[in-house]
Amino acid sequence: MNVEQAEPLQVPPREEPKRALSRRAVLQSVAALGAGASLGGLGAAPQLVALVKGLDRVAPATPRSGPAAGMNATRRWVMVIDLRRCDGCGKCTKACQATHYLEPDQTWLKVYKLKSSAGTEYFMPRLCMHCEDAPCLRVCPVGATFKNAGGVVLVDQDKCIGCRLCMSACPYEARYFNWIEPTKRPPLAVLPTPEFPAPQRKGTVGKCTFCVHSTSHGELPSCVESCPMEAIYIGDLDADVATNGPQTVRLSTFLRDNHATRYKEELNTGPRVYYIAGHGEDAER
Amino acid sequence: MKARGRSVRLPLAAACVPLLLALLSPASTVAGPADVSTGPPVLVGSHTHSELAVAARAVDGDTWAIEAHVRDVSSGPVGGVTIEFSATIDFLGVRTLDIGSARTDTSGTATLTYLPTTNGVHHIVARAPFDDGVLASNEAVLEVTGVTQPLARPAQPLQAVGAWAGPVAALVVASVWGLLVLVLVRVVVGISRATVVARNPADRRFGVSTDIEG
Amino acid sequence: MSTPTAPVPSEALEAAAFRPMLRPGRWFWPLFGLLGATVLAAVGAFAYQYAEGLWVAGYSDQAFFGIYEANLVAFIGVSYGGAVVSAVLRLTHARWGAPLSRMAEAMAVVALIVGGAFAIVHLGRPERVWTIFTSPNFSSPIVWDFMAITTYLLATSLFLYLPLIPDLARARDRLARRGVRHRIYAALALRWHDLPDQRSRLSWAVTVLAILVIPLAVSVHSVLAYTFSMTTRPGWHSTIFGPYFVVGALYSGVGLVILVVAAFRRAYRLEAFIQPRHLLNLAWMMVALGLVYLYLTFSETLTAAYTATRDELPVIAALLEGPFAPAFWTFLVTGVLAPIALVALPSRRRVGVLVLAAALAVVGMWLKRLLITLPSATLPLIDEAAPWGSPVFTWVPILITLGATAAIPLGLMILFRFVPVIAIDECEQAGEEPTLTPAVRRAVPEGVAG
Repeated sequence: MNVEQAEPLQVPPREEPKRALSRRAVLQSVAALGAGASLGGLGAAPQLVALVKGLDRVAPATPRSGPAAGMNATRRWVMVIDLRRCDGCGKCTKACQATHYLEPDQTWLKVYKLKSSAGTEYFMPRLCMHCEDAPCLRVCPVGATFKNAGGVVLVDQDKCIGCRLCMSACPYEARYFNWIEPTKRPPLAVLPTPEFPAPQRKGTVGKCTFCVHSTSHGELPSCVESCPMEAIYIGDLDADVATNGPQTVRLSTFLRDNHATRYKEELNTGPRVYYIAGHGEDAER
Repeated sequence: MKARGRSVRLPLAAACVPLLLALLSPASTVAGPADVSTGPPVLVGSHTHSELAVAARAVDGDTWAIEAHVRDVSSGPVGGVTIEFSATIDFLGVRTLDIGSARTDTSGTATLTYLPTTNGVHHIVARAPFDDGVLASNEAVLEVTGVTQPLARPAQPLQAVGAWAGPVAALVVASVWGLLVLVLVRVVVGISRATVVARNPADRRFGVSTDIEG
Repeated sequence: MSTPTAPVPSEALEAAAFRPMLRPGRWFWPLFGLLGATVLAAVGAFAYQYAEGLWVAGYSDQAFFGIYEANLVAFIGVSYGGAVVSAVLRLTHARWGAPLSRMAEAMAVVALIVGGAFAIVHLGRPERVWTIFTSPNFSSPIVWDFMAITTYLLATSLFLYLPLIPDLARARDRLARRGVRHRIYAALALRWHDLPDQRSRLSWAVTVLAILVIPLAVSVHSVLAYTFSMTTRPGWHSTIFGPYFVVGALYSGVGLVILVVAAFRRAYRLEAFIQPRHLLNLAWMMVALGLVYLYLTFSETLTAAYTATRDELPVIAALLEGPFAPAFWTFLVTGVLAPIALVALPSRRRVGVLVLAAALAVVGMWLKRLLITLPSATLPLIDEAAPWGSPVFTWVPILITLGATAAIPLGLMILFRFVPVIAIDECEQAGEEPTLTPAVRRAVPEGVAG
């Protein structure tokens, strides 16, 4: 169990600097090794190219000093899923597909029926984890996958070349390819954007957007809104607040008190989705 | 939006413990940081027998001290009363967030440290629960305009390696290409030029070969 | 091994090398038509896939990589073998390799182009492939692939072209003495007249290229492996993958060199210049590489199977005793053990046996690439009890794969219509008999066919 520890009434410290720094340090050593090898035998060049810029597609961090009126200018969106409440009804999946005009097999939010090591069955809704250090973002050859200022991993379907390397890099099966010309379209012919990629585009990849088109207007994501069990919370690490609609909690306290975990923590991707396991669920698989 | 001052009628059972809630004016007593606006005037809840007053006071950085004062009718402090605080904030809609609780001390003051994490108007509601009901309730309004503490940390762009790696890698790749092109150019130019020289009968450097033309 | 090629009268060699350039054999046009039709059908299949979407290739979200990715690795792999065989033979001054170098180098270029095409065929949006060069994200292994492959394409093209210059000059002087063909040969031959200075420059350049081609080829196949191993997928995320792919590529590549050499030896009647000994030498190289590949396969399998972690076990179990087991054991027995045994057995003296061994190795390695690609791409990552993804081999990828396979002999046939199939000049140099000095050669009546 890997529980986020934080003092009450304090925002959980950002984690990515530490992890990014350590990863960077390691990779710098590797790069130095590669540079040495390359200079020794110029043929190793492409391996070094390997280590060039890293995630240059990350949206530049907006400087956030100075007063901002009303809502915070930026958020660090997270979701918290209370597995104790999920009964596997699948309404979140349906709402998500309706919102984004998806095909039936494009389950950007998929509810898995899993069996714990104790033998009990439980349900685990899986959406995109919007990892701090997203593997999909790193492997995208053309930078079609990027992070917006709120840390939400988005796909620019005008850029995507459909190589599917992000699908192989994602440890969470969270990415869905458009193998066919999409059949569902919004009634109003609006141009799809990374924030609201509807309709989907053939030959490109799509995934959960944390409904940034809703949250940017101060509305709840469709899965949060549609969950009859109120099991899904949308939160902000900076505001340290999360809400499932009726209930609003102090995020850090909520995570700590409920022993929240993140899925496949050992992969060091820094997921932005927390799970609260109740009775026997293997939240970490 | 609620009225700024509100009194709650005490349940009958509570009437035997008259409380007077007095009002302090804290915002003016402590100078807040420049980018944090001080709270509005403290609001008073009043009742025939008791009063709960709540006030917010900027202390250090972005931290606010929320103080609730419980006094009886003779303005005497009432200790040992648990006050629960909640904040009504704007987070994807109007949300009410429990921010903690505190007990009044011998001076009748319950203090809660509050770190607002969102900008905007925060309605801080203090409640003195009693048995099944609420003994008294009152609220203060903070207007937070410059939340910087949790947000000011520079966001680290995720970067696999330092910026030097790009130029170095480009250099290595370019040198491989350069070497390949150099090989090509040297051969093309060399082979072409050698013939030109050889064609010149005056230059016998490549003596053997002038006769092969044609 | 280092026995020099028996002295061959240069006019006989030249005649044999020029013959296919002048008059194609009886089977040339029928074969050309057949292979060309296959390639065209594959192009048509690709156009259909482009119009319809990748679903026609049998892909799905639970089987997002498959036959195209295996082809990409397999075809670029055989290209690697051709280039490295030639480079190693040059660098070790193995003079027996002179008659083989042209075919090996040509095969390297043709197979690389065919293999590189799969990098485009597998895309969902092939029309946007150019953006890899205009807006590359340098942390992506696919960008490394494209940089490595283009660099390697330049290097192998030079590696084919530079040793060709003396032969082009010969064609200019003796094969096509006038007309368009003469002018093209003349332009490409760069006024080569076999001067000492020209020869020293050429020899320098070829040596530099031979040195460069090996690490470049290693880099190409390493980054291809990194495309898989830079993910966290069980079965792919393996430190051994770079060298594993490199050795596998060499193994299959030498196998294809044997096939190409044997085929053109037979078709272009080069038995006098390419003897069974040549093929046997290549086969020994193949066996050595096959043994290394066998060892690496054992090492990788044992490492994964011994700890049998929750992540790795499903993949390794699927390979060893699960749905992929028949293919895996077929690969191991017929793709590695059988070729080694065939070459090691006394029967190896027969060319047909060597060809069979090489064919088994090439096909077996293609199967192995499929076995690398499919299990990890179809494995469920979250619900272990869920069914695995099921790739479907529809007619589209099958036709495209057949077309790509046909494109290699077709490309070589076309190429060898215009350039000598054997490096005449190199064979002469390798022979180095005093009777074959340029002065003597010039005394030979010009032109073998007018």
